[in-house]
Amino acid sequence: MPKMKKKIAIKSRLSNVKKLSGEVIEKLSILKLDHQFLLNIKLAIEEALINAIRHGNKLNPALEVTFSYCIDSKKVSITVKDQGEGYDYHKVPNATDKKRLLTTSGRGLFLIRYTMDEVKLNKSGNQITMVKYLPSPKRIL
Amino acid sequence: MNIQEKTVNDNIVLIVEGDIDFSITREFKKKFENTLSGPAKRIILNLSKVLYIDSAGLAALIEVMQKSNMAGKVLLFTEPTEKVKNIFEATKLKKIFKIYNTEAEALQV
Repeated sequence: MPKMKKKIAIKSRLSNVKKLSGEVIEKLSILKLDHQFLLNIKLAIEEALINAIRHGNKLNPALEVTFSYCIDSKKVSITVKDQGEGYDYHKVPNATDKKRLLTTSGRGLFLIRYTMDEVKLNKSGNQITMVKYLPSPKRIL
Repeated sequence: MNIQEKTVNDNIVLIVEGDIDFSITREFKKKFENTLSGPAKRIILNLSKVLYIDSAGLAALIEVMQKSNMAGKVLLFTEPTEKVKNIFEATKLKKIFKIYNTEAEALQV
């Protein structure tokens, strides 16, 4: 499978979220991957974009979110970067803490970590890179 | 997302079809609040046709559960799909949601 790469800057509008996740899922569809596998990638992409648009750029349409992806024979890598101040992601409370189960926020990053194989944030917390390895039979040399 | 409503023995069953995500949470909560203002003491949310839920969708479910409790009503979840069940387990929300395998089971509570 030839490597597919793209980098795009979008305005901070939530209406862009499904367009971008849909594009990546469409690219992956030729690999005939399991539907649940694709849904996990879609979930991580959308959570990362929503975090960037809503929390990073505070829904300011004048600020941009940079979205890039790379699909090769082994993995899918996605990076989302916003223009916000970032945050200390080490201080994000555990979403599954018994005392926090009733809270209605703070599960986005948890779901990203749950669905992807590797997740890295930059020091300031305004950029996230997520990797999902393709199931081995799909790794085409 | 589409929500069908039916009444079974004075209980309201809401059958949700489609994704429960950030794009529909406002509509979902509004629909639920309409149901909540009715006389039914027990509301059953049938999730058998929900294949995808995100963090905003989970937040919406928590919110409607809390509103149900405050209104003196009970919210029960039935037939979550594997995907939704996995998310409930991972987030530990299965500890606070009342989840049943079938509508019939929930109606017997």
